[in-house]
Amino acid sequence: MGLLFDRHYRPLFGFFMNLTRQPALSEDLTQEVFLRVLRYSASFKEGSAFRPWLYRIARNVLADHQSRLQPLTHLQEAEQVADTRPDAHQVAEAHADRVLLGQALSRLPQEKRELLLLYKDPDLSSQDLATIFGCTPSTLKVRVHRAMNDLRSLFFQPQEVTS
Amino acid sequence: MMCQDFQTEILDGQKKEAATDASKALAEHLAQCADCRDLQRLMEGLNALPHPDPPEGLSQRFHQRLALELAATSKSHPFLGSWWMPLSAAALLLLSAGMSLGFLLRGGRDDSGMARLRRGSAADRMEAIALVNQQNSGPVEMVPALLDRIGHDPSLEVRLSAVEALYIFCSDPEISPRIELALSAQDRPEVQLALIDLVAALRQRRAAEALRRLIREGGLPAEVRQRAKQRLAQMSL
Repeated sequence: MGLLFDRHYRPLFGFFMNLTRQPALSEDLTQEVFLRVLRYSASFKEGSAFRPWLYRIARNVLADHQSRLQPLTHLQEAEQVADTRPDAHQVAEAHADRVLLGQALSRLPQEKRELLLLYKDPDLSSQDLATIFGCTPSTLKVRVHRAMNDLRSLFFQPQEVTS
Repeated sequence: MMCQDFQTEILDGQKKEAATDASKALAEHLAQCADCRDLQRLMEGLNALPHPDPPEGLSQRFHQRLALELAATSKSHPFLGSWWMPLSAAALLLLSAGMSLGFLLRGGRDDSGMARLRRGSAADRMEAIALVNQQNSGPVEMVPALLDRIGHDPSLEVRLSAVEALYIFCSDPEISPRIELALSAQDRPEVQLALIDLVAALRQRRAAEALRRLIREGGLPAEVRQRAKQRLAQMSL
């Protein structure tokens, strides 16, 4: 377990950070994933790839967290928006592609965000991703295509999209 | 080839699944097609997103938590689980013991509240929690230690005391999601109730801060300002 953790916790932490932007929560979620790996080790099929299984658990951990605390999360998001009005420096920086891309990503639906963040991971093949998202590789490609189109809309027309 | 074919190629290229001899055609197409250039720019942007580094000590904190989890599993289900679980627990506990020995060999006797939170009798742990506001450790060290006690301590009293102690760190902006996660993982109803109270207190505190900020910034219609002050006064009761 220790070896598995040491090998995989960094990209997993990065995955949660890119989704939640909260370091402490990302740490807790990362730990919870590996504890579930331990608890549900019997359900791992011998000979199959570990990373897709790990990220399926990761998606479940995040979904469980969010579904239990949906009202609180909405409240926090609303407060965070109110609390983080940009100053002049931030406004100037907001023109950078990375900032706009981060904002566009954060406005995508959760599953599409997860899909794109995992799709860019060079260590996960299309087959791995299809396993994680429970679909065929060809369906996965269609989903990626749609997610990229949505991201493009949000990125290039940020004012026009409100949800 | 149509734009859609090139866009598929751009996305496939991310997974190195595109035919290499098509790259030249793609380059020529990109020179002419703004839509496909936008898509490629986005794909490159995604690849350039930062890879956030985990906080220092995450690995160590996980190994400690894992040792406790394994120990609890092997204790409550001595005949269940894999043969390696008790061995792993023993190995991890030995590792923790080794780290403690190393500390002693460096010339210190670890009497800190952090260490007493994890070791000793329930009374020792309660005392360490009671003294938490006198520790020099900040929320970075103390909050995970308290959350660990809340989630795993065999003593109900210790868990409840750890919840009480967390009120000290309410001003930490990162504490809310961690408490919510602890609540979702909690298996003792008494502790769940205490955590619910803490979550409610945190929400009220954030709401009060938002109202204070609103009043302070000014520029509000008199009626709105008055209502904000009223609500704030009610919260203070």
